[in-house]
Amino acid sequence: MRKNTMFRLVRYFSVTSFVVFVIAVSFFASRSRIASINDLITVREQSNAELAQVYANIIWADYGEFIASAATLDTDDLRNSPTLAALDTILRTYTAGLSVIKIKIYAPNGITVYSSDLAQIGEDKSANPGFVTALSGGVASELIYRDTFNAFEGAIVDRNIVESYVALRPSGTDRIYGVIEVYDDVTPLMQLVDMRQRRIVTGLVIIFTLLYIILFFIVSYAERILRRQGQEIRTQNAELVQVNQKLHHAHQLAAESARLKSEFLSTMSHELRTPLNAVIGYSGIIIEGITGETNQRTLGMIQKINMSGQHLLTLINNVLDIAKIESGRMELVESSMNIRHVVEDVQAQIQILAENKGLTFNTHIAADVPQAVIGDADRIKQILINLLSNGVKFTEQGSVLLNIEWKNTYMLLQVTDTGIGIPAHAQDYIFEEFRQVNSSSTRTYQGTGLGLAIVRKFVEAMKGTILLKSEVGSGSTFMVRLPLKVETSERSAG
Amino acid sequence: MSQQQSPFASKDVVIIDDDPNSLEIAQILLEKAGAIVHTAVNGKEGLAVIQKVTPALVICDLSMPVMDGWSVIKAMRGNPELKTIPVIVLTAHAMAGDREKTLDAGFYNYLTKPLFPSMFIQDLLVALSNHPLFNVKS
Repeated sequence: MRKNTMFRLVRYFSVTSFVVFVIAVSFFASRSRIASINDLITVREQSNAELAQVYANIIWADYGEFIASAATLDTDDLRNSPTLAALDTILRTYTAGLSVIKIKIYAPNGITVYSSDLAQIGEDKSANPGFVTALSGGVASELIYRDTFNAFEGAIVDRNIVESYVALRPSGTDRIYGVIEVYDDVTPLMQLVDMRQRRIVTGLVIIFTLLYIILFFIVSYAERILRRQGQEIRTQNAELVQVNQKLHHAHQLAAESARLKSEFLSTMSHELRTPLNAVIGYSGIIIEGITGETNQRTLGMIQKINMSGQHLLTLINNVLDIAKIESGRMELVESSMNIRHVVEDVQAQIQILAENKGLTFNTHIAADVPQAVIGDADRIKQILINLLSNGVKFTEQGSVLLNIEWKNTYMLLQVTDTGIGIPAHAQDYIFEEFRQVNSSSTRTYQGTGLGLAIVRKFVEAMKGTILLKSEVGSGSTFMVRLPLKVETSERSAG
Repeated sequence: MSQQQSPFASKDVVIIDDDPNSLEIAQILLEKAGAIVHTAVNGKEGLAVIQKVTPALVICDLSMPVMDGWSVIKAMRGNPELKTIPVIVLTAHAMAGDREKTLDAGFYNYLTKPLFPSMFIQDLLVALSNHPLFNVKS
């Protein structure tokens, strides 16, 4: 689960950072110890080399030849040699009070000529890399540890020693008479190194512990925030789920009520059409003269009955259209269509209306309007009929014009009339159902008040826009923009 | 359009509708156009009349008691002698999609009420425009 992993933050942090800190402390500690010991060896080697030079200068005049030739002597002779005893005395004298605890001297061939430990005299050190380095003029040193060590003063225990091999080359000469090995007791220095080491480790541990504590607080604070947010999110989620359920319920109710309303209107429409059929049918038959002559006065009345019936029919149709749109049942029937054919159909109907009122009616379709677009031809036709018949209805003299242009991605349908115009305050609500400019005009200009509402809803269903420009007394222009796709596969569909 | 030139002249037409007014209006107009009109008030009666006279055209409502228009067309489709007779729907149901449904069911075409006497015969001819029996060249 997501929330469980989220709140393991502190646990993960504790384990990983502890491991990381332990590794870091040991790494830094060991690095610093190695560095300290290397420094110590370098410093002691320097001092050993200097001491070796001092001893070389002291002993060389009296013992140089003895050392150089000692290799030829028998080991026992060498051990018992009085010269060696004298050398031993001199070296002990010159090392007294120093940290040098032992000296060995080797002949050029590697044989141990002198050691404070008599047992070592005669040993062959020619293969020792330190000896080899020193014989060629260099210095070689090493830090060693001994449980027990045979020093000048006898056996000593638990010692850290820096031993250095140095060439036996008296000052002012180039000749190397042999090799001196100096043993320097660095036990006190090592204690200092270890003490410093302990301080460093303690310091590191303190620093890392502080760091750890600070980070721990940051992490646990972060976790607390996360946990609180998680809690909030869960609470909000629960609330959202509840709201969603309510919305869903409300939506179902609304959809159900819309469906019932639409069903009711559909039934009503059917029930109203049946008597209307009789009204329009019988009056139509009398007007057609099928049943014989009717006197003029009666005929006039019958015509009024017929007209009223037709008006009622338009009203029913429009109400049904609105109901369909509002219940979401209106589906666009889109197919390849040519606006020129739609206009031809519309033209025939509007021409009659315009002529009856003595108005000029003209249509113009720009040449670049595509022959075939994808659209709902019946709905576009309805839009044009509603706008144009409105234009004719509200125009007493002058003209009604239909102009169609193509603007790259949309079709612009403009209906312009020279009629009474629509005042600014009415332009906002003119597209609402059952609204005309004022209630008195409903009487002057018969109409359902639904024409523009239907136009607006059709235009919106097609994702288009409708704009109105109008001035009282000089006429109105309705501009409809319909985003229609150009049919490319069937350019000939015209 | 005189009676002699009318495509309906001397042709048997059966009208089935449960609304007597609708029936009478259509009858008057078709008789004016020269047709021999037979009427029926439901599908069952209508089918009996159709079987008796084998008309050139049937005009039929959809929702009727006893037997509705859907059953009429179904019965006629199943009868080899009747299935070539064009049946035009005349209904007050003006809902989108109804037209497609009726054409799918086998009706020849679809007209909605109310009918306009000045235009009814013309509308009927347009609805029958592809039928050889009523194909007038004018």
